[in-house]
Amino acid sequence: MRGASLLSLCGLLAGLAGSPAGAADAAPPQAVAPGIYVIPGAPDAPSAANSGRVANSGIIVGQQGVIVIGTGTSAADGERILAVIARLTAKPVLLAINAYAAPEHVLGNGAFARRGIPILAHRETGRYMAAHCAACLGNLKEQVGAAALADTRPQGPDWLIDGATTLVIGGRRLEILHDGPAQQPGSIAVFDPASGVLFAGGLAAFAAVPDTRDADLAGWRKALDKLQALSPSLVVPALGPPGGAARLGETRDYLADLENETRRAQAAGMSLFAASASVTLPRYAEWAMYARNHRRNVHFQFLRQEALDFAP
Amino acid sequence: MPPLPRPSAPPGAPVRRWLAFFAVLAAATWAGSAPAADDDAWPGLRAALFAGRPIAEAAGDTLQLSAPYRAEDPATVPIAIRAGPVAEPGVHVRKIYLVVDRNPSPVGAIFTFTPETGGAAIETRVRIEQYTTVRAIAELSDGRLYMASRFVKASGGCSAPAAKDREAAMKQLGRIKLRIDEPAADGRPNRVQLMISHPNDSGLVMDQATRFHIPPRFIRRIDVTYSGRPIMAADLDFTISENPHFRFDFTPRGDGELKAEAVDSNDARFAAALTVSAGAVLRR
Repeated sequence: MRGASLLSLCGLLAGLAGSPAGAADAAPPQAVAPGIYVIPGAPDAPSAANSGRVANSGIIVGQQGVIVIGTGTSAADGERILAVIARLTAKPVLLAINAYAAPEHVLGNGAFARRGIPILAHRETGRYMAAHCAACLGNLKEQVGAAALADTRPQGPDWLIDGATTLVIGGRRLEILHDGPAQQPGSIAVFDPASGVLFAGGLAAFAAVPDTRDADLAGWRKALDKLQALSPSLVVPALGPPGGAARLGETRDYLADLENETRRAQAAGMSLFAASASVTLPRYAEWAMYARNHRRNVHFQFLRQEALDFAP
Repeated sequence: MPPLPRPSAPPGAPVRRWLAFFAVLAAATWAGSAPAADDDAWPGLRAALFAGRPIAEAAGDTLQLSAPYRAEDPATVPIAIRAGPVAEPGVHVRKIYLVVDRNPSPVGAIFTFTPETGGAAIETRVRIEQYTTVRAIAELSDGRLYMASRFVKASGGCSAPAAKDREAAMKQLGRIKLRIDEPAADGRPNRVQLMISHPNDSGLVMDQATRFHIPPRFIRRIDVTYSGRPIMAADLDFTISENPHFRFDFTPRGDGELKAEAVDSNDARFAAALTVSAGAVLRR
């Protein structure tokens, strides 16, 4: 209950801080390396106050054009990102990337598709979006209101990849990283070797509880190890402010604690309902999205562990 | 195996027909147009299931229904129902009906208990298609009815895509996990867990590859016996979540074989058993 009231207080403060113009523009882009920008999202439950803009979007400006990672949470948000880019550079937007499938990262796709900008994603992410985006748009509408989602329709990727690949585009060489199911079956990260900046997508959340609903925890931990081994100069997570490579350990620790404590509850004979109510992780209680994601994470982890019992 | 005692109905078919009838009736309504928020399906369901019989609101621990007010996942909403001990000697809780008012098929489960069960308590997980009242109605062996209800906020559970890896899931179709807490104490309630690997397809989910709906296929009947004596049975439909899971209390009296049999809507049959011997549980 206290978590919930804190959240609503934060929402209220955010609402007070943002003037109508501010709400339309949201936070200004941050330059994190030459030609690389982050449009920061405020990690919190989607609400009318934040219009669902909870995740970061990345902008990479190459010599011939721009690559965008994360299209925003609505048609309006996608338009806002394109407007931000237009103020930064006159170069055309060549590509948008969906690194993972979550409303705050893909529901702005329509604004890009309308301009004929290709949208790249892992095949599994495309499949996931086809199955979930319509329902997920409905849920988001309930949280942020229909007005914020005007003209927003599910729009899938049109450039599908099946694994890790190197992309040479706009005069930039980008490493698209994928090493099997992780946060989601089609999780990818985008590494820019020239600057050392890593866009970790859904694989990382800093001081924020990630969504583990569709996760393969073992694969996710392996992916985090590999990302850290790249020694990126800066990591841009899906949720929370960019930080150093060592902070990938935060996400890894949360996943380990989630798994261990859920297993302990299960071994003690707890029911699904009891476990999701009682497996709290106070160490992470101050993180953003704790109230929204943690309990649900326990629920899904419990079900995953239970299903393992069927394996021969 | 011997048929379950069904004091109020001949064995087998009628309950199944009821379930099928509700499924069709509700699917027709559901396909036409989503009912408005104040639509109340209960009066019609009540008349069909219980005619004019009085139903008392459960008070105290007569009948407890637990469900989350806001579900973590509409496709796996945990539900726990526990009927308190019946004061009158010789009277037991014979059935528990689980009704999800606004689901495509509202009568999700009808559980049958016997005096051998040693108490009526059941936990499972259900799909919820839209914000709804969930009800548990307990029927005593003397015919009295009690009801407990809760409102649950969840939507899209029946039409949500199921297993992430369907092929792998189908390979282990029908595998059953049956457990009883050890030591299996003689004459004291023990918790039994029964879980069946099954997609429990609702028929409302579109296959994204083919654009066809995946046809319905769900566990429709479960029978649990102890040394051949029925202790719990359930008539079910696709309101029950993927990998149907049940926890219930059972009071064993003496050594015996705990056996679970399940049959799905394609008439595929699955079974598992374990032996209780002097409190120890032997799997085979």
